[in-house]
Amino acid sequence: MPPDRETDRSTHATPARVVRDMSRVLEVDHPIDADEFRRRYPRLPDALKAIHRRAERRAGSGASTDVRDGRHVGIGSELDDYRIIGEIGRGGMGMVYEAEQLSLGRRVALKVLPSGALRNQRAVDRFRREATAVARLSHPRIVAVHGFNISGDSAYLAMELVRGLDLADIVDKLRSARTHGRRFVLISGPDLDVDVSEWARGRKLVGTVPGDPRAPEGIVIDLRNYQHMAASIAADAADALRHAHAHGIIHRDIKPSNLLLSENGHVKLSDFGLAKGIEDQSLTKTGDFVGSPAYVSPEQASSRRARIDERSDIYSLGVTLYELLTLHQPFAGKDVADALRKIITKDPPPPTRINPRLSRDLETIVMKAIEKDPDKRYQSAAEFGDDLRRFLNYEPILARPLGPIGRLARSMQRNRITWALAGMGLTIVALLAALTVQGGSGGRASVILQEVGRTISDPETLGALQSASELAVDLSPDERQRRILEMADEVTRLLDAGDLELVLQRLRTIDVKVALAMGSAGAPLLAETLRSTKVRTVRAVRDAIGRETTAQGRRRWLLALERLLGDPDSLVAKNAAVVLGEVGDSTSLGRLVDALRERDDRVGKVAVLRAIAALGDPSVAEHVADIARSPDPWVRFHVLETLEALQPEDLELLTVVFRGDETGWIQHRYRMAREGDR
Amino acid sequence: MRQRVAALLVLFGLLVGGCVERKPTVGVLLPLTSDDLSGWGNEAYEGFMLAVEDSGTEFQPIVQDTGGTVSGTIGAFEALVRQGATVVIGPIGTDAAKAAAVVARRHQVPFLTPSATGVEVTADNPFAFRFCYDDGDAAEALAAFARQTLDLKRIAVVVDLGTSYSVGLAGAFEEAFSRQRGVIVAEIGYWADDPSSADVLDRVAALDVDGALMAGYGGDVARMVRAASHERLGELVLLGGDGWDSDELREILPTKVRDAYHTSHFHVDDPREASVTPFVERYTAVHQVPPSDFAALMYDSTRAVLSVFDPSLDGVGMAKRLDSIREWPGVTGVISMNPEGNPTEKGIVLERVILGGPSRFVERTSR
Repeated sequence: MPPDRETDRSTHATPARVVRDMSRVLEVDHPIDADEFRRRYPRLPDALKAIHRRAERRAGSGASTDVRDGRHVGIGSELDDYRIIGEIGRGGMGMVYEAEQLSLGRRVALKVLPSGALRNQRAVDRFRREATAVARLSHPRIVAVHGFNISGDSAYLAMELVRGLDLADIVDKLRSARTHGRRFVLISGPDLDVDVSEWARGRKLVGTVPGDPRAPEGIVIDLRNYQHMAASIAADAADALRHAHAHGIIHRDIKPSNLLLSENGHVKLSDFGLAKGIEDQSLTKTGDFVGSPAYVSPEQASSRRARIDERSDIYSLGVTLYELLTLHQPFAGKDVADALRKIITKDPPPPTRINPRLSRDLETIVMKAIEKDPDKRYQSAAEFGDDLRRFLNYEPILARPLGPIGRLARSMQRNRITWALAGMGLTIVALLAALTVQGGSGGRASVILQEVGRTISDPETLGALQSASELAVDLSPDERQRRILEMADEVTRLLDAGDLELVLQRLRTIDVKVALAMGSAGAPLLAETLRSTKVRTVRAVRDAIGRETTAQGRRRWLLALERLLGDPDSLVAKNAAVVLGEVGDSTSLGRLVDALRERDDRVGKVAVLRAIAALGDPSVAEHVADIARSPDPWVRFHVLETLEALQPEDLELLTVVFRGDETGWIQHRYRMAREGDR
Repeated sequence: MRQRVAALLVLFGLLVGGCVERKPTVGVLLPLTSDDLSGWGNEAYEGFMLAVEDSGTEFQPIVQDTGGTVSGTIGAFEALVRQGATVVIGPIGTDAAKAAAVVARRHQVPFLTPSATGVEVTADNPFAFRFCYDDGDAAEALAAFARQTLDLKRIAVVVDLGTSYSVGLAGAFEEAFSRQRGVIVAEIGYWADDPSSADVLDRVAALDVDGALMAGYGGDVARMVRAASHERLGELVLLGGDGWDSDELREILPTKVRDAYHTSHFHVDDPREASVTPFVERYTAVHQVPPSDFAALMYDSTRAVLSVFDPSLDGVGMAKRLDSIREWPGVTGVISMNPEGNPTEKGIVLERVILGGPSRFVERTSR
């Protein structure tokens, strides 16, 4: 057999074929050439894994078939009007098979309750609830129920067959797939490491590949559009929930594994086994926990009696979107109790902290959806879905991020002990201040300082607090100003002396010291006196990066530059952006994207856009497009130029964002970009 | 010599200030001893002295040297306040003027900068005034001239990242030029004292551009022009702002590039200012050189402040006086203050740098 043909056949190798071939090789009794075997069967590892998985399933379920009423439910068997064709999966409620409905000749998914489960009234109730709930619904984003039978020893649910993956699978695959440096990733199919970039380049991918005969086998994710794909999925799911809620049904178990992504890119909501009527106002009983621990709302997780309504579904969909965007569960715990405790008491990290490239608007939407207080969430699935669509259409979203004061207030509410300790710290500062005023109390001050010193181990923090206290008590504005100038001069002298580490350390605390002592009044003076020193510091850091030989050391200096990028002075920020555009890395790119959202000065914003264009990573194009709704045409103009620089071959996003821009000179520039007439 | 004179003047100012402490007076802030800025500072000082003389007053303002630094400006402004200044003339540069704005607001003592063009100098501050156009105005005029008169389509912008003036002018020009359907091919940043910036102009010449805006100060631009050797250099038109006021640059530019133009505030050949000729003649007679931009602007600023100064008023009162200046005839133009502390309709002069002589007056545009 020609090797090519053998190899070709091996790409479709079934476990049985592999085993048979191996036996044949053994039968002729010649030494096995492992390399030759691997060449013949390049997907052998996958085939062996498939064998292993099947064996596991058998072990787990006892058997892949079920015996009911003397009949085997297995491949080829028939159950009333349905003939079992193959297995799709195994859920908590039994096996799900692909089956053919014989009377109509259509393929369906058949969820079959194990015969043993029929003796469990709760399981039967759940099965019935799912069937009756979904029967009331008819929506393109909800998996339809075709038939249901529960009598005697037989219980099954015939549903619309959705070919694709559920979102839990997608998250799992993305966690393990090699995505670094790729725009497209294949997340289903036999070989996840197939590079599909060449095939996918230039194609419009919503997220999956419709049946294209040339397409790689499986679902392809366009990573550059990933967050929009995730938002689009969540918006569609919100539509499904809107429909269910409008029909008086709360799903109560929204999670990634209950959202199926079909091969044509549509999401479908499934598994209404825990659904409950909105009108059913009976409270959840203590300990009567329902749902999946990682995704339940705080009111579901709480041991207290709580009313569960449609806002619980909104919360769970928000958590699902969070996980889709970050590939992390916001409230992962070491066990169920730990997860539930976190759901009730902890704030999850903002998604952009995990994935800095995410849109801040999308983060705001997610965080509003997973507010612990139901009254602060979106009040309906329609509101949630509409805000997601505003994000997708590059329109202003309605949700507002929680500001620093809001975060502080919430933090104080939840962490009273921590804040009590912080209050003690401030009291110490005030006490130090008072003691400094009383000239003769130096001895007492030193005793207290020793106490503080035992509590605060970082000498720089301690020093900052101490000098802030000194500034705070000096009641003469002239004297305060003089000391600020002295501090600024000291930083400049340190820079002159080449002590860059110490300069950066001083710059980190000097703002705090002045703010503690003088409030906002001291900031302008400090900004003016330190501007040129900060600009020189940027240069010094750039030179240090040039001399640095280790990756770790280089990152440390880049971090210093990234901090300077956040400086409120636009000249300092511009300098930091220019240098980051020259020497930055992917982490710097994330910081630049953050800065793009945070800065409100046009000089800083434009400098950051230029730096992003210089780094040339097209994966952040969507974040750049996010600020295209800026009312400042100069900022929009740079968004256009940056998008053009990031996507030289694919101007689709540019078109979406700028086709309708009404500013004449921006429109002129847009047309130049489209025509490639530089 | 200049520095020695300046030092003596500062000493004199301190002594006088010390003697007449708290008596309301006029203060002057100039960089008289700075390595980089003392040339302009002393030109401005000469304009100041002539204005005091022309105003016919016995009254002598107090002069403080800023040393050309931000902290020096803050310290000098504070000293003037202690000495009783209720209005201050100066400083001349954008970074110093931004620092002065902080002190002015704190003490409620107004200042009038003759020449700081940074847009933000007077922003949201009732105690900050200027007697010149700002970078936005200059950039609009320069961009229109480049596109419409010179027909330049593709421009690189070279910006000194260390100064607010350069960054402000460059940003405003880029926006104005883009609005005129021109293409900014690249923005190239440099730091004036960075040796690696010497090849900036060669990098510009290697681009597909018709010319470049060199938004830095004249001395730095001259250094870059001198170091450049690219074969396309002779095809380029270079543009600059009022910071190009440098004899060194005027000498080297025509030998290297196709053409060069820059904005300024004042030109001795400006035919539209009837008052220019007498001023130029008097100044030239006293100092043996024609007046520079800084001398002319300081001359106007000083005469204007002295004309409205009232020793019975405090800083707030003096701010209102400055605010009320209308149709005031200066050698650099007729000045009316708008509510933001900027002059309305201050003309922008465009000069062409030519070989073997002073820059030639090209035109004067209004905002």
